[in-house]
Amino acid sequence: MVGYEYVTRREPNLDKWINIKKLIGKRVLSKGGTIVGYISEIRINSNTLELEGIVIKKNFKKPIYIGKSYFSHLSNRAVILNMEPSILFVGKKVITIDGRIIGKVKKVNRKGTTNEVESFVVTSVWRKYLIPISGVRRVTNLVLIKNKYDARKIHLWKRSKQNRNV
Amino acid sequence: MTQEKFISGRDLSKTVTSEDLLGKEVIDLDDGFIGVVDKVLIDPRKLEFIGISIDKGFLRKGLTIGKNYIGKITPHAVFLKIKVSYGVKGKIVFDRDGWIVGKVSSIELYKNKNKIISLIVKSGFSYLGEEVMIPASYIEAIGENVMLSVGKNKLREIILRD
Repeated sequence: MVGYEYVTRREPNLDKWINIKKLIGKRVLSKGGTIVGYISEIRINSNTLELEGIVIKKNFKKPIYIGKSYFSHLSNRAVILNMEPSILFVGKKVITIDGRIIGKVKKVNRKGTTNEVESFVVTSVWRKYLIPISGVRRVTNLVLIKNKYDARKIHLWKRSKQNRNV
Repeated sequence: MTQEKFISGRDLSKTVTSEDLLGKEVIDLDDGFIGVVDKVLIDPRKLEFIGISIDKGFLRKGLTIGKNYIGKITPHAVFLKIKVSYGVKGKIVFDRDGWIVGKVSSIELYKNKNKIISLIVKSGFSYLGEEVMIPASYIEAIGENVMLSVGKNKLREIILRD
């Protein structure tokens, strides 16, 4: 431990603690190894002095803020998340359980700012669907929706209700 | 229109023909698009359906899947029960801390089955050398890339030991 004068009540362990300055520009990986982006900012709560979250940038897209509750592991090299960010589901193909492609995810509606999905807005060439998460069987490389789910019908119903309110 | 005649002891109305299968998309358990069915394989002695051959696209090697790995055949696609291990090829391997170990150049499978024994990872710039073999037990998750459950020190130990 040469090189520093220590003024601390805790046993210093600088080798294991991470230098935040060095984290800037490092990659952020999802649970499955997707490169979510690169750290551009690290946010610390000025009251509790604790790390709150990070801001991620990638390819001129809108920056993403991820709170520390979604961190799985932090190292000098990267931040590993404990989930797949649902905002990255945009662009995934949506298929029914019998393999029919109904479109691509255009927008992900989430519960507030959390990672939990409420519904997907799916578009194809001619149609637009709103699929609630209850109608989704699983999300992996594709979004697989339940067999007897009539996506078009639900969307029309939603739209007509909105019109009535207007 | 003349009606087709059947000579069979079974009800054949719910069967699928080879014509229905050919050209159908094949989707694995991870909902990854594998390719399209280009052959239906039948055992010439037992006269049983034994699997399908998949065309993965231009200049890519085909893949044969045994019937035990087929989950269901639907009007639009064939769903597999498994996540095809060959799909790992070409993915980037990260260690526990997010360091890039390399890219999967090949995989070692258990007796032509879908079970991975180890990954052969290639990288000239990796801290581990040019080519390393990583046992499947150290794989944490396979998604868009491969995440390992061990850090670089542990990985170095494993490689030196093996």
